[in-house]
Amino acid sequence: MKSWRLIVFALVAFAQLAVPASMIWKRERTLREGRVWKFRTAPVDPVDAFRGRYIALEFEAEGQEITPPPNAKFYQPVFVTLKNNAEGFAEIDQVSPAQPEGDEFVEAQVVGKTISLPFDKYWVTERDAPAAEAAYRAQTRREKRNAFVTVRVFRGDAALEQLYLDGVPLGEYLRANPATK
Amino acid sequence: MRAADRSGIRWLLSELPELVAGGVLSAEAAEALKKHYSDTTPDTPPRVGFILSAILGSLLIGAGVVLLVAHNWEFLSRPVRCAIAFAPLALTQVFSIFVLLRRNESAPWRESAAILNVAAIGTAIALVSQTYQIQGEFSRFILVWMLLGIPIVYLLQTSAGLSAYLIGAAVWLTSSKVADFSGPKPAALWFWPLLFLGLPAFVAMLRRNRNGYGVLFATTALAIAASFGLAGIDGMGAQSFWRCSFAGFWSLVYLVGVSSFKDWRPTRPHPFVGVGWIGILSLTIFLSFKDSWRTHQWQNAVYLIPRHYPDAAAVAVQIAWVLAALLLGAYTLWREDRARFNLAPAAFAPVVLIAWGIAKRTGNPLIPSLLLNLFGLGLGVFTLVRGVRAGRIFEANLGMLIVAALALARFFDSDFEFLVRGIAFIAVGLGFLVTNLVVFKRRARA
Repeated sequence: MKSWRLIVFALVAFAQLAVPASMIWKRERTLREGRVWKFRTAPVDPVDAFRGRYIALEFEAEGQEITPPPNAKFYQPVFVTLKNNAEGFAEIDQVSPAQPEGDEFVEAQVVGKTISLPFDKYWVTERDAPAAEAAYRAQTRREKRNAFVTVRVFRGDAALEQLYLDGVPLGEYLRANPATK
Repeated sequence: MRAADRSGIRWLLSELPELVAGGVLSAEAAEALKKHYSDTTPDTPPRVGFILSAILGSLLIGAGVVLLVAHNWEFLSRPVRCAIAFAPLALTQVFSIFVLLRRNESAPWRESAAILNVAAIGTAIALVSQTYQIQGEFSRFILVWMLLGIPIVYLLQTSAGLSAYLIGAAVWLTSSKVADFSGPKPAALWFWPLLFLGLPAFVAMLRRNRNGYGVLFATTALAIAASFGLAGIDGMGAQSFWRCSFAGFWSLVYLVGVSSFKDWRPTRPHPFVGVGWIGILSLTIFLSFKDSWRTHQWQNAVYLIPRHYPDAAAVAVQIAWVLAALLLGAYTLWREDRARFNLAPAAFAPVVLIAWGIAKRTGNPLIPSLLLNLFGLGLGVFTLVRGVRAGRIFEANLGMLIVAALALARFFDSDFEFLVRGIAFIAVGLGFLVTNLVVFKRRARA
């Protein structure tokens, strides 16, 4: 009587551990083997950018007009391949409903004639949050665009690696510019 | 003895001296009664409070851990942060095994272990997501969390866990991303299989201790979740059918309170009876307005047999609720003592069904609203008479209240003169006074 409960519980416990573990494993593989792309952030409405503990990111590539697959609905999942533009930032190359060959593609969603990339939040620590907010706002204004993120891409998974402001990682930037609070 | 009876016993024991003084009971009989009941009462310690405090304590600890973790410690490396994410999960798993082996008979232990474990699952996933900047939809996170938590509900037989699961299903439904900006959302149908996953646990709980507070919580959660589910599928299928499905829903809530929990407490009805009354009366008043039957969607309403997947399934779920209300109503009418329960409110489901049928056929809002007015009036008068006959002040006044509310509602959509309105108000007021007078007199005579 008790033994079957224990066996079932062991299975459940394993599943409970396996879910976060598999998330880590998949992400670690992407970070290890994925190719790095730089996505330049798009100018944002400063009020809207910061939601508590993460920065809501928008990218220039998301404003790029694409040809969606025929009869594509809103939020339909698609596969996106990337290319670098002249300045070395990522742009959307091909959009297709079927999985492309190779390892370098991202799963994203169609929103009308644009693409919504699967990464739009950058979590920061509670203590850094206000400073990060101010810094991100300062660096994504229309006249001064010096913010980009690095993303590693591997077989559909896109791992947000680091947010760069003025060419340096967020943490370093905040240490170098403490006055931005 | 059921813990639920204790308030009744206390009442009985407090009445004993008066009964002896009045010569109703002999002193020996009173002593025997006192002895009988005081012998049995100490066996059931006041456990509800203890269980509640155990649940509350576990919830607070769980929330505290989540907050600590959500601070997102910057100086910790990724592996350390992952270890922190897994630690609470592993600890609560060990704790659950201990409870399964050693404390399986104790509800507070089981509830606490389950809550802590379920909280730890969510924490682990959320912290790993944060550490690795893993993005994802909130609804998906909820779904994974629920599916990993539901086996715990079965293993540890926890009513708090089951309630959380059922509410989680409603949260999942409201947070899932829409396929399109408007129009049907077939994903909403998956809510029902999710709900069904929790049902066997609910039935088992019902069998163990039907009149306990745990079952009350779970039943309430089930009702709340189901109402969200019904609202979620309304966009599909017959778009005007929500009137019937919600009439079935409220009738069912009322009937469940009346017939499934008839031994709830000796002195008061099950909470669902009250909630059912409120739901049925509110919807009756709403549907008694002519405007509530005026809709542009009659033409779009699906014909009797919708042929395609989301619509057909949605309509099937809606009809199932109406059918369940009709069947349980018929069963209660057949099996239960009609003098003991007021079954008239349960006629709501068939009445609305007929009204909807007429509205759909004719497209005329007058007859269905008239039908609902008649139902409301009949329900009010029936309840009033029932209350007066049995000398129950509360029931008699409830009947009057229904009539008064209906009268008040009619003033909003009709343009009677002030004279007529004044006379009607005076009549209703007089009705209240006379009713109470009659009931009190009858009581005095009895």
